Amino acid sequence: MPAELTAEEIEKLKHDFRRCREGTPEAIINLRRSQDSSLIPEILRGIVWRYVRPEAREQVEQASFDAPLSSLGMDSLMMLEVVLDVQDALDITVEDEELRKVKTFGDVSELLRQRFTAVHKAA
Amino acid sequence: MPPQTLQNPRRVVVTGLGFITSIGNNREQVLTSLRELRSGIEYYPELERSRVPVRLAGLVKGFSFPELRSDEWTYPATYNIPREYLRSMGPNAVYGYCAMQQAIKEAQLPPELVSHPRTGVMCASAGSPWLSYEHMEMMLEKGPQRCNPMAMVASISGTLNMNFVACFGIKGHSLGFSSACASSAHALGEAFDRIRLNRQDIVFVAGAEDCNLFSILPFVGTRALTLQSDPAVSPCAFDKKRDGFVVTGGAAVLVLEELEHARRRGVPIQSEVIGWGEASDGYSIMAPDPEGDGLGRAMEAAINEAGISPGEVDYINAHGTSTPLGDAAEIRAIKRVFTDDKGPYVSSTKSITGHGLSLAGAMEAGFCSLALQERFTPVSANITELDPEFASVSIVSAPIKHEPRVAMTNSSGFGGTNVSAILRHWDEG
Repeated sequence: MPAELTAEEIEKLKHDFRRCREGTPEAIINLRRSQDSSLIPEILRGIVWRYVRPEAREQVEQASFDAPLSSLGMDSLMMLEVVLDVQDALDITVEDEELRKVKTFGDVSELLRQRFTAVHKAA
Repeated sequence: MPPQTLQNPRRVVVTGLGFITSIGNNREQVLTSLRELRSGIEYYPELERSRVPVRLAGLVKGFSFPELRSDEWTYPATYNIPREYLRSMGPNAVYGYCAMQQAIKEAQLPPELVSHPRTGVMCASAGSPWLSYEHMEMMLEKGPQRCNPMAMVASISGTLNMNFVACFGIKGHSLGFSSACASSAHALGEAFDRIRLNRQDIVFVAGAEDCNLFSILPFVGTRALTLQSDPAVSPCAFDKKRDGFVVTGGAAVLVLEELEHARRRGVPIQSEVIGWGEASDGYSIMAPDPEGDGLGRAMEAAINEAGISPGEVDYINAHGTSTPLGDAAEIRAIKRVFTDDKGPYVSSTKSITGHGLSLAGAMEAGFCSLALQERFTPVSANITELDPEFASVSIVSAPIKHEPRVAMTNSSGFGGTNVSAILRHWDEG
């Protein structure tokens, strides 16, 4: 069910995600309003883009769903930073146990989509 | 009983310095400020907004830390700090990283000597009270699993040595010192000993502190800070009107190196460290012993260890924070240790930098090295009416033509801990 965001919430999302790839804060706001989970892969890409070294950003732009996250120069701590941001962006909680199973860009997208759908259906 | 001396101890020299301070972010700027008595202290609006009576801070220029996220932080464009380093740092470690880069470059150390089992780091930092506060607040609000896993290592007092070991690949000794405002002076002494005793060949001595509301407010409560609002008036160490210190932050790094090691590398030697001493007051957690008992014994121990006579010390960079009790205790101790008619020149550079807390010892040892190498005597700023009790001491209240040969630097900290270290001008040979 579409949700309304307050002006304050919109400002906070714009502020918190303004260092991500261009368009990411808007995609997050759009997702939160429309609950359209097909936006999740691009949001994830935009957040990953923020945390990798500048020289790896081009690779992030091109990364396919089967690309292992380690191939984008991400270490486990970067991965954790991405997950922290994604949880805030999607307003969900992902369990450590679930995270241990994911290896590729596509795995993470799918996990997030499932979690998002479960949480927001329940609500 | 005479002091026990080491058999053939190795000699220790300074081969590199790095500064991020209120009076300059590199050697040249610091040198100019010291020579021309340019203060780094200024009005800090944050303090007035916090409704405290204190107005001044020795702010570090060219850096900003507007919020927790490190991608919002700015630092001089001459440095490039990778994101994966920044995520475990607080402001003090960022300053420290930049000062390390300068020191490594000055000492001409290739990566394989920075990262070497015989190269260590001895650090001092109080950590980041600001990050501790912000992260803890967030953990309570969102739960620790939704917070930055680096929050702890970025905040706690060992943050400087931990970050340096990781960022610079340090393979030798690494530890932090926690003796309040004597911390980095202790780091210097320990580094000196480890090289003399043939346990390390090179040791980076580093002190670093945040400089923001969170590092200043706790001192407001102690009533140790000046309430003046004009940096041309206060701090004024040794002046009759002194009413407290000004807090500063930043970072200082010294590269200490075994003499023959430095000679083999063919790098310029800037000065020699020749001795250090330490002693405690056993008196009060906050107030210094009124006669400067511990500091006097620390100075005597340093002189003994250096194998010189008190008369050979011709400049003292005093602890001199500009507090009524602290300055009096130090001057009484100096009078007791230096009994010649014409004692050493004495000045406090804190009157232009502010008090760097755990960073002070390393920063001021760095200033002493500069003074010895560049042949000038730093002036003690803002003295208009010298405290009459100090009249018999050669306090440098105006520029003098004196090229120091042997410089002592004093540091005292809460709990009544005291350190004195001695550096000597380097004459080739």
